[in-house]
Amino acid sequence: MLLHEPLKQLAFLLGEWRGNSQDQFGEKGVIESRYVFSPDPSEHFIAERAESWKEGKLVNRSVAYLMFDRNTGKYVRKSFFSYGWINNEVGEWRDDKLLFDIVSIDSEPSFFKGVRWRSFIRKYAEAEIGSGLEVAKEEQPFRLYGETRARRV
Amino acid sequence: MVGKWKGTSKDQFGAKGTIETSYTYALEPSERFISCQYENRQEGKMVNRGAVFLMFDSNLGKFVWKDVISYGWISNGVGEWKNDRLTVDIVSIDGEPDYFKGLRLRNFIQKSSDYEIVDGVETAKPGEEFRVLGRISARKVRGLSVAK
Repeated sequence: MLLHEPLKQLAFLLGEWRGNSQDQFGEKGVIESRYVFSPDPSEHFIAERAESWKEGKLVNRSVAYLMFDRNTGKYVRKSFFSYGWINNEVGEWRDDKLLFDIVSIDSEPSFFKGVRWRSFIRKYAEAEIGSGLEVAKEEQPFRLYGETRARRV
Repeated sequence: MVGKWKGTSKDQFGAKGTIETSYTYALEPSERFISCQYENRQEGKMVNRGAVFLMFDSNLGKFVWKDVISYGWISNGVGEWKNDRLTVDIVSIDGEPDYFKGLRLRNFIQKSSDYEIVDGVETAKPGEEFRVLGRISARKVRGLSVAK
């Protein structure tokens, strides 16, 4: 299935990726992640199914849908996390990085309140991406919270 | 809800003819969500498909509904379960098509029995009452046994 413009510029994502992170996302140790991107439910979307494990134990599963909103000229992503919340994200593709502002969180956990979040997918090469989070307290600048480097499998 | 359902509608949603709908409800990506993968077909040909995610937002005390529709938009809704009916107000649509602008939309799922639901959409022009745009009667064809 061919992706609709301007999702086509993100077609490199389609397929399966595996990666890991060490001492990231506020965790000690290694987290292994698997991502599968597909054009679903149509060529207007890229769906992402992700799983993360620590020491062989599943720590998180998520499903996300990415589309381009022609009304705003920006990408929209909805990310559903097994923890029990939904990120509503609006983003732009610039300099090989898809950067999303997390504009709201449905069922936001209390420990997130007062903190601003950004998520990103960075294209390092055709076969290597980074998937991560940036965080900022109140008016402070964003800093990297964690990144998983993944390679196409 | 969890399981597979099949339904039909005739001359509904502004379309002529019979549309056959299949739904697969699951606890996905975890037990905190009910997801639904659905397909609508007319004379065997795919009309549209999509994915709904339903979650209870304990901050709001309401259900949150996201409907990812193959046409290229996402409906964001907030709803309540009352009298065996889930009524979801669509509060915004990402990638909203022009022909929806100015209209209010509401989705509903009415539980008729443990094995029968009615799934539908209501619409209202500004200042007018909601009216049914379309409804699908569906029966459960496979799924978990119903907890009493």
